[in-house]
Amino acid sequence: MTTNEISELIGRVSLGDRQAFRLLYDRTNAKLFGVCLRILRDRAAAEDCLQDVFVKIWQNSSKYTISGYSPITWLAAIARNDAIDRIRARKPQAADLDEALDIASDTPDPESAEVSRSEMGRIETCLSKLGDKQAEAVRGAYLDGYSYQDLATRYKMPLNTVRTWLRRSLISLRECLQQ
Amino acid sequence: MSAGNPMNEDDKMLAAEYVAGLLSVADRAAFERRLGVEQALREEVKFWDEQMLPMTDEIAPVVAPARVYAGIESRLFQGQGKTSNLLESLMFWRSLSFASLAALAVAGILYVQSPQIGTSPTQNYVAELSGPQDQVKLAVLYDGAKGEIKFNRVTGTPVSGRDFELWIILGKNAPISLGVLPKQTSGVIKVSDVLKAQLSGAVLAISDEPAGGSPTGKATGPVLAIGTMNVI
Repeated sequence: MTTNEISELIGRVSLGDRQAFRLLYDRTNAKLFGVCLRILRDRAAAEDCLQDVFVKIWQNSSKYTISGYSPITWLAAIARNDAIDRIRARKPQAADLDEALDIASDTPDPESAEVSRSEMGRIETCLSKLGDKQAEAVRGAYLDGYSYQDLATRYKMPLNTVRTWLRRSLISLRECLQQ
Repeated sequence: MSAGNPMNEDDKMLAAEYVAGLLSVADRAAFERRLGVEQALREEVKFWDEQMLPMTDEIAPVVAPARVYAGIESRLFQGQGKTSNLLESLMFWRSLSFASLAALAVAGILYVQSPQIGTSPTQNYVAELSGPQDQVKLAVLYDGAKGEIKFNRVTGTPVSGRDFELWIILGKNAPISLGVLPKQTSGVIKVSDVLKAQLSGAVLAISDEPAGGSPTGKATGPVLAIGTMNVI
Protein backbone atom coordinates (compact mmCIF):
# COMPACT_ATOMS: atom_id res chain seq x y z
CA MET A 1 0.00 0.00 0.00
CA THR A 2 1.68 3.14 -1.14
CA THR A 3 1.07 6.69 -0.03
CA ASN A 4 -0.51 7.36 -3.43
CA GLU A 5 -2.96 4.51 -3.04
CA ILE A 6 -4.04 5.77 0.37
CA SER A 7 -4.39 9.25 -1.02
CA GLU A 8 -6.57 7.94 -3.84
CA LEU A 9 -8.70 5.97 -1.38
CA ILE A 10 -9.33 9.10 0.70
CA GLY A 11 -10.30 10.89 -2.52
CA ARG A 12 -12.82 8.16 -3.34
CA VAL A 13 -14.15 8.26 0.21
CA SER A 14 -14.83 11.97 -0.27
CA LEU A 15 -17.12 10.99 -3.15
CA GLY A 16 -19.12 8.72 -0.85
CA ASP A 17 -17.53 5.46 -1.99
CA ARG A 18 -18.16 2.96 0.79
CA GLN A 19 -16.05 0.26 -0.79
CA ALA A 20 -13.06 2.61 -0.78
CA PHE A 21 -13.84 3.46 2.85
CA ARG A 22 -13.71 -0.21 3.78
CA LEU A 23 -10.39 -0.62 1.95
CA LEU A 24 -8.98 2.44 3.65
CA TYR A 25 -10.05 1.02 7.01
CA ASP A 26 -8.48 -2.35 6.23
CA ARG A 27 -5.20 -0.74 5.24
CA THR A 28 -4.87 1.76 8.03
CA ASN A 29 -6.81 0.62 11.12
CA ALA A 30 -3.83 -1.18 12.67
CA LYS A 31 -1.61 1.87 12.47
CA LEU A 32 -4.29 4.17 13.87
CA PHE A 33 -5.46 1.71 16.52
CA GLY A 34 -1.83 1.45 17.68
CA VAL A 35 -1.68 5.23 18.01
CA CYS A 36 -4.93 5.35 20.03
CA LEU A 37 -3.87 2.44 22.27
CA ARG A 38 -0.49 3.96 23.01
CA ILE A 39 -2.05 7.19 24.22
CA LEU A 40 -5.15 5.81 25.94
CA ARG A 41 -3.61 2.64 27.44
CA ASP A 42 -7.04 1.05 27.50
CA ARG A 43 -8.52 -1.21 24.85
CA ALA A 44 -12.16 -0.20 25.22
CA ALA A 45 -11.29 3.49 25.11
CA ALA A 46 -9.00 2.92 22.12
CA GLU A 47 -11.81 1.13 20.28
CA ASP A 48 -14.16 4.05 20.91
CA CYS A 49 -11.41 6.38 19.75
CA LEU A 50 -10.87 4.43 16.52
CA GLN A 51 -14.61 4.51 15.78
CA ASP A 52 -14.63 8.27 16.19
CA VAL A 53 -11.54 8.55 14.02
CA PHE A 54 -13.09 6.72 11.06
CA VAL A 55 -16.38 8.58 11.43
CA LYS A 56 -14.34 11.80 11.21
CA ILE A 57 -12.37 10.48 8.25
CA TRP A 58 -15.63 9.79 6.40
CA GLN A 59 -17.09 13.18 7.29
CA ASN A 60 -13.97 15.27 6.64
CA SER A 61 -12.46 13.43 3.69
CA SER A 62 -13.30 16.27 1.31
CA LYS A 63 -11.03 18.54 3.35
CA TYR A 64 -8.07 16.23 2.91
CA THR A 65 -7.15 17.26 -0.63
CA ILE A 66 -7.06 20.97 0.05
CA SER A 67 -5.24 20.48 3.35
CA GLY A 68 -1.98 19.63 1.59
CA TYR A 69 -1.21 16.94 4.15
CA SER A 70 0.44 13.68 3.20
CA PRO A 71 -2.23 11.01 3.64
CA ILE A 72 -0.75 9.06 6.56
CA THR A 73 -0.03 12.26 8.45
CA TRP A 74 -3.59 13.43 7.91
CA LEU A 75 -5.02 10.15 9.20
CA ALA A 76 -2.59 9.93 12.12
CA ALA A 77 -3.32 13.54 13.13
CA ILE A 78 -7.04 12.73 13.35
CA ALA A 79 -6.27 9.69 15.50
CA ARG A 80 -3.85 11.56 17.79
CA ASN A 81 -6.19 14.51 18.22
CA ASP A 82 -9.09 12.29 19.17
CA ALA A 83 -6.98 10.29 21.61
CA ILE A 84 -5.43 13.40 23.16
CA ASP A 85 -8.87 15.00 23.58
CA ARG A 86 -10.04 11.88 25.36
CA ILE A 87 -7.07 11.61 27.69
CA ARG A 88 -7.13 15.32 28.55
CA ALA A 89 -10.81 15.01 29.43
CA ARG A 90 -9.97 12.26 31.92
CA LYS A 91 -9.08 12.95 35.49
CA PRO A 92 -5.32 13.10 36.06
CA GLN A 93 -3.92 9.63 36.46
CA ALA A 94 -0.34 10.31 37.41
CA ALA A 95 0.04 7.01 39.22
CA ASP A 96 -0.15 4.74 36.21
CA LEU A 97 2.37 6.60 34.09
CA ASP A 98 5.20 4.21 34.77
CA GLU A 99 3.21 1.09 34.09
CA ALA A 100 4.61 -1.08 31.40
CA LEU A 101 2.54 -0.95 28.24
CA ASP A 102 2.07 -4.48 27.13
CA ILE A 103 -1.19 -4.19 25.25
CA ALA A 104 0.21 -3.70 21.78
CA SER A 105 1.18 -7.32 21.30
CA ASP A 106 -1.05 -8.50 18.45
CA THR A 107 0.70 -9.41 15.26
CA PRO A 108 -0.15 -6.92 12.53
CA ASP A 109 -0.87 -8.11 9.03
CA PRO A 110 1.92 -7.28 6.57
CA GLU A 111 -0.02 -4.57 4.78
CA SER A 112 -0.79 -2.60 7.88
CA ALA A 113 2.81 -2.99 9.01
CA GLU A 114 3.83 -1.41 5.76
CA VAL A 115 1.52 1.52 6.35
CA SER A 116 3.00 2.02 9.80
CA ARG A 117 6.40 2.77 8.36
CA SER A 118 6.74 6.28 7.08
CA GLU A 119 9.82 7.87 5.68
CA MET A 120 12.45 8.43 8.28
CA GLY A 121 12.33 12.16 8.81
CA ARG A 122 14.61 14.69 10.34
CA ILE A 123 12.87 14.38 13.66
CA GLU A 124 15.14 11.61 14.98
CA THR A 125 18.26 13.58 14.09
CA CYS A 126 16.88 16.69 15.73
CA LEU A 127 15.70 14.85 18.85
CA SER A 128 19.16 13.36 19.27
CA LYS A 129 20.57 16.88 19.45
CA LEU A 130 18.44 17.59 22.52
CA GLY A 131 19.43 16.16 25.88
CA ASP A 132 18.29 12.59 26.51
CA LYS A 133 15.79 13.70 29.10
CA GLN A 134 14.43 16.46 26.87
CA ALA A 135 14.02 14.09 23.92
CA GLU A 136 12.29 11.58 26.15
CA ALA A 137 9.88 14.25 27.37
CA VAL A 138 8.99 15.31 23.82
CA ARG A 139 8.37 11.67 22.90
CA GLY A 140 6.33 11.21 26.06
CA ALA A 141 4.13 14.15 25.13
CA TYR A 142 3.71 13.24 21.47
CA LEU A 143 3.49 9.45 21.67
CA ASP A 144 2.06 8.84 25.14
CA GLY A 145 -0.06 11.95 25.47
CA TYR A 146 1.66 13.17 28.65
CA SER A 147 0.61 16.62 29.78
CA TYR A 148 2.94 19.13 31.45
CA GLN A 149 1.55 17.94 34.76
CA ASP A 150 2.20 14.28 33.91
CA LEU A 151 5.78 15.13 32.99
CA ALA A 152 6.28 17.22 36.14
CA THR A 153 5.15 14.25 38.22
CA ARG A 154 7.28 11.88 36.23
CA TYR A 155 10.47 13.93 36.52
CA LYS A 156 9.66 15.21 40.02
CA MET A 157 10.08 18.79 38.87
CA PRO A 158 7.91 21.87 39.46
CA LEU A 159 5.27 22.37 36.78
CA ASN A 160 6.59 25.74 35.63
CA THR A 161 10.13 24.43 35.36
CA VAL A 162 8.96 21.56 33.16
CA ARG A 163 6.96 23.95 31.02
CA THR A 164 9.89 26.29 30.45
CA TRP A 165 12.24 23.41 29.85
CA LEU A 166 9.98 21.68 27.34
CA ARG A 167 9.17 24.91 25.48
CA ARG A 168 12.88 25.52 25.09
CA SER A 169 13.21 22.01 23.65
CA LEU A 170 10.41 22.68 21.17
CA ILE A 171 12.09 25.91 20.03
CA SER A 172 15.38 24.06 19.48
CA LEU A 173 13.54 21.33 17.61
CA ARG A 174 11.82 23.87 15.39
CA GLU A 175 15.14 25.46 14.49
CA CYS A 176 16.74 22.11 13.74
CA LEU A 177 13.77 20.82 11.71
CA GLN A 178 13.77 23.91 9.54
CA GLN A 179 17.38 23.54 8.48
CA MET B 1 -5.08 38.27 11.10
CA SER B 2 -4.03 37.82 7.51
CA ALA B 3 -2.11 34.80 6.32
CA GLY B 4 0.70 37.04 5.13
CA ASN B 5 1.72 38.28 8.56
CA PRO B 6 4.75 36.62 10.07
CA MET B 7 3.61 34.50 12.96
CA ASN B 8 4.50 35.70 16.41
CA GLU B 9 6.55 33.50 18.71
CA ASP B 10 3.65 32.82 21.06
CA ASP B 11 1.54 31.41 18.26
CA LYS B 12 4.43 29.33 17.02
CA MET B 13 4.80 27.89 20.49
CA LEU B 14 1.06 27.24 20.77
CA ALA B 15 1.13 25.30 17.49
CA ALA B 16 4.06 23.19 18.71
CA GLU B 17 2.38 22.52 22.04
CA TYR B 18 -0.87 21.66 20.30
CA VAL B 19 0.73 19.06 18.07
CA ALA B 20 2.87 17.72 20.91
CA GLY B 21 -0.38 17.23 22.80
CA LEU B 22 0.59 19.45 25.73
CA LEU B 23 -2.39 21.81 25.84
CA SER B 24 -5.29 21.45 28.26
CA VAL B 25 -8.81 20.61 27.07
CA ALA B 26 -9.87 24.27 27.14
CA ASP B 27 -6.69 25.50 25.41
CA ARG B 28 -7.01 22.81 22.74
CA ALA B 29 -10.60 23.80 22.02
CA ALA B 30 -9.70 27.50 21.85
CA PHE B 31 -6.75 26.77 19.57
CA GLU B 32 -8.88 24.62 17.27
CA ARG B 33 -11.38 27.44 16.89
CA ARG B 34 -8.55 29.68 15.71
CA LEU B 35 -7.29 26.94 13.38
CA GLY B 36 -10.60 27.05 11.59
CA VAL B 37 -10.02 30.64 10.51
CA GLU B 38 -6.26 31.23 10.54
CA GLN B 39 -4.42 29.81 7.58
CA ALA B 40 -0.95 30.66 8.93
CA LEU B 41 -1.69 28.75 12.11
CA ARG B 42 -2.85 25.76 10.09
CA GLU B 43 0.39 25.81 8.12
CA GLU B 44 2.40 25.86 11.33
CA VAL B 45 0.43 22.89 12.70
CA LYS B 46 0.92 21.04 9.42
CA PHE B 47 4.66 21.63 9.66
CA TRP B 48 4.77 20.00 13.09
CA ASP B 49 2.36 17.20 12.15
CA GLU B 50 4.47 16.21 9.16
CA GLN B 51 7.75 16.51 11.03
CA MET B 52 6.62 14.58 14.10
CA LEU B 53 4.89 11.76 12.24
CA PRO B 54 7.98 9.49 11.91
CA MET B 55 7.98 9.17 15.70
CA THR B 56 4.85 7.04 15.38
CA ASP B 57 6.87 4.42 13.51
CA GLU B 58 7.97 2.97 16.84
CA ILE B 59 4.33 2.23 17.75
CA ALA B 60 3.46 -1.39 16.99
CA PRO B 61 0.39 -1.58 14.73
CA VAL B 62 -2.49 -3.50 16.28
CA VAL B 63 -5.34 -4.80 14.16
CA ALA B 64 -8.60 -3.57 15.67
CA PRO B 65 -11.32 -6.13 16.45
CA ALA B 66 -14.08 -6.53 13.87
CA ARG B 67 -16.68 -4.95 16.15
CA VAL B 68 -15.02 -1.57 15.66
CA TYR B 69 -15.82 -1.47 11.94
CA ALA B 70 -19.33 -2.76 12.62
CA GLY B 71 -19.79 0.16 15.02
CA ILE B 72 -18.50 2.65 12.45
CA GLU B 73 -20.86 1.30 9.80
CA SER B 74 -23.85 1.50 12.07
CA ARG B 75 -22.98 5.08 13.00
CA LEU B 76 -22.48 6.20 9.41
CA PHE B 77 -24.70 4.05 7.25
CA GLN B 78 -27.52 2.90 9.49
CA GLY B 79 -30.64 2.17 7.49
CA GLN B 80 -28.88 2.48 4.18
CA GLY B 81 -28.50 -1.26 3.70
CA LYS B 82 -25.78 -3.00 1.82
CA THR B 83 -27.15 -2.31 -1.65
CA SER B 84 -24.48 0.04 -2.79
CA ASN B 85 -21.77 -2.37 -1.74
CA LEU B 86 -23.30 -5.02 -3.94
CA LEU B 87 -23.52 -2.65 -6.86
CA GLU B 88 -20.07 -1.32 -6.30
CA SER B 89 -18.62 -4.78 -6.23
CA LEU B 90 -16.65 -5.03 -9.44
CA MET B 91 -16.56 -8.79 -9.22
CA PHE B 92 -20.32 -8.85 -9.23
CA TRP B 93 -20.99 -6.85 -12.32
CA ARG B 94 -17.69 -7.03 -14.15
CA SER B 95 -19.08 -9.64 -16.52
CA LEU B 96 -22.55 -8.13 -16.86
CA SER B 97 -23.54 -6.30 -20.00
CA PHE B 98 -25.79 -3.34 -19.54
CA ALA B 99 -28.71 -5.29 -21.00
CA SER B 100 -28.41 -8.05 -18.47
CA LEU B 101 -27.99 -5.55 -15.66
CA ALA B 102 -31.19 -3.82 -16.72
CA ALA B 103 -32.94 -7.17 -17.02
CA LEU B 104 -31.86 -8.04 -13.51
CA ALA B 105 -33.15 -4.74 -12.28
CA VAL B 106 -36.49 -5.29 -13.97
CA ALA B 107 -36.73 -8.83 -12.60
CA GLY B 108 -36.19 -7.39 -9.17
CA ILE B 109 -33.18 -9.57 -8.49
CA LEU B 110 -31.03 -6.54 -8.22
CA TYR B 111 -32.52 -4.54 -5.44
CA VAL B 112 -31.75 -0.89 -5.77
CA GLN B 113 -32.55 1.43 -2.92
CA SER B 114 -35.92 3.06 -3.44
CA PRO B 115 -36.04 6.82 -3.67
CA GLN B 116 -36.74 8.28 -0.26
CA ILE B 117 -40.04 10.03 0.13
CA GLY B 118 -39.68 13.63 1.12
CA THR B 119 -36.17 14.04 -0.23
CA SER B 120 -35.52 17.71 -0.66
CA PRO B 121 -35.18 18.62 -4.33
CA THR B 122 -32.35 20.99 -3.46
CA GLN B 123 -30.30 18.25 -1.80
CA ASN B 124 -26.77 17.74 -3.17
CA TYR B 125 -25.44 14.32 -4.13
CA VAL B 126 -22.13 12.85 -5.13
CA ALA B 127 -21.29 9.65 -6.93
CA GLU B 128 -18.16 8.05 -8.17
CA LEU B 129 -18.62 6.05 -11.32
CA SER B 130 -15.99 3.43 -11.95
CA GLY B 131 -15.61 0.27 -13.92
CA PRO B 132 -13.35 -2.72 -14.49
CA GLN B 133 -9.67 -1.88 -14.07
CA ASP B 134 -10.74 1.73 -13.62
CA GLN B 135 -10.59 2.26 -17.38
CA VAL B 136 -13.41 4.74 -17.10
CA LYS B 137 -13.87 6.77 -13.97
CA LEU B 138 -15.97 9.84 -13.27
CA ALA B 139 -16.68 11.98 -10.28
CA VAL B 140 -20.23 13.30 -10.32
CA LEU B 141 -21.80 16.03 -8.24
CA TYR B 142 -25.49 16.90 -8.38
CA ASP B 143 -26.05 20.52 -7.50
CA GLY B 144 -29.53 20.62 -5.98
CA ALA B 145 -29.82 24.40 -6.18
CA LYS B 146 -29.15 24.44 -9.92
CA GLY B 147 -30.72 21.09 -10.78
CA GLU B 148 -27.70 19.96 -12.74
CA ILE B 149 -25.10 17.26 -12.67
CA LYS B 150 -21.48 18.29 -12.84
CA PHE B 151 -19.12 15.60 -13.97
CA ASN B 152 -15.40 15.30 -13.99
CA ARG B 153 -13.93 12.54 -16.10
CA VAL B 154 -10.95 11.14 -14.22
CA THR B 155 -9.98 8.48 -16.74
CA GLY B 156 -11.31 7.11 -20.03
CA THR B 157 -12.40 8.65 -23.32
CA PRO B 158 -14.66 7.18 -26.01
CA VAL B 159 -12.97 5.68 -29.05
CA SER B 160 -13.39 7.42 -32.37
CA GLY B 161 -16.96 7.33 -33.67
CA ARG B 162 -18.39 6.38 -30.25
CA ASP B 163 -19.86 8.36 -27.36
CA PHE B 164 -20.31 7.85 -23.64
CA GLU B 165 -23.94 8.03 -22.57
CA LEU B 166 -25.05 8.70 -19.02
CA TRP B 167 -27.97 6.72 -17.58
CA ILE B 168 -29.89 6.84 -14.37
CA ILE B 169 -31.54 3.80 -12.80
CA LEU B 170 -34.30 4.51 -10.30
CA GLY B 171 -35.40 1.64 -8.15
CA LYS B 172 -36.38 -1.29 -10.30
CA ASN B 173 -37.09 0.78 -13.38
CA ALA B 174 -35.31 0.55 -16.70
CA PRO B 175 -32.42 2.97 -17.17
CA ILE B 176 -33.32 6.48 -18.30
CA SER B 177 -30.90 8.37 -20.51
CA LEU B 178 -29.52 11.63 -19.17
CA GLY B 179 -27.85 12.26 -22.48
CA VAL B 180 -24.52 11.90 -24.19
CA LEU B 181 -21.57 12.95 -22.09
CA PRO B 182 -19.84 16.01 -23.57
CA LYS B 183 -16.35 15.25 -24.90
CA GLN B 184 -14.66 17.62 -22.46
CA THR B 185 -13.14 16.17 -19.30
CA SER B 186 -15.63 18.12 -17.25
CA GLY B 187 -19.04 19.60 -17.88
CA VAL B 188 -22.65 19.96 -16.85
CA ILE B 189 -25.79 17.94 -17.63
CA LYS B 190 -29.27 19.26 -16.81
CA VAL B 191 -31.61 17.01 -14.85
CA SER B 192 -35.36 17.10 -15.50
CA ASP B 193 -37.72 18.17 -12.72
CA VAL B 194 -39.28 14.72 -12.57
CA LEU B 195 -35.95 13.09 -11.80
CA LYS B 196 -34.72 15.70 -9.35
CA ALA B 197 -36.80 14.43 -6.45
CA GLN B 198 -35.75 10.83 -6.98
CA LEU B 199 -31.98 11.01 -6.85
CA SER B 200 -31.35 9.57 -3.41
CA GLY B 201 -29.85 6.12 -3.85
CA ALA B 202 -30.20 6.35 -7.63
CA VAL B 203 -27.61 4.53 -9.69
CA LEU B 204 -25.73 6.29 -12.47
CA ALA B 205 -24.05 4.38 -15.25
CA ILE B 206 -22.01 5.11 -18.34
CA SER B 207 -22.37 2.98 -21.46
CA ASP B 208 -20.46 2.94 -24.70
CA GLU B 209 -22.77 3.97 -27.57
CA PRO B 210 -22.64 4.96 -31.24
CA ALA B 211 -21.82 8.62 -31.89
CA GLY B 212 -24.76 10.79 -30.78
CA GLY B 213 -26.02 8.25 -28.29
CA SER B 214 -28.11 5.12 -28.32
CA PRO B 215 -30.37 5.02 -31.41
CA THR B 216 -33.05 3.07 -29.56
CA GLY B 217 -33.35 5.00 -26.31
CA LYS B 218 -32.09 1.93 -24.50
CA ALA B 219 -28.47 1.25 -23.69
CA THR B 220 -26.87 -0.88 -26.37
CA GLY B 221 -23.19 -0.95 -25.48
CA PRO B 222 -21.37 -2.35 -22.46
CA VAL B 223 -21.50 -0.59 -19.09
CA LEU B 224 -18.16 1.10 -18.55
CA ALA B 225 -18.69 2.68 -15.15
CA ILE B 226 -21.36 2.67 -12.48
CA GLY B 227 -21.95 4.25 -9.08
CA THR B 228 -24.58 5.25 -6.54
CA MET B 229 -25.73 8.76 -5.66
CA ASN B 230 -25.02 9.61 -2.04
CA VAL B 231 -26.32 12.57 -0.11
CA ILE B 232 -23.73 15.12 0.93
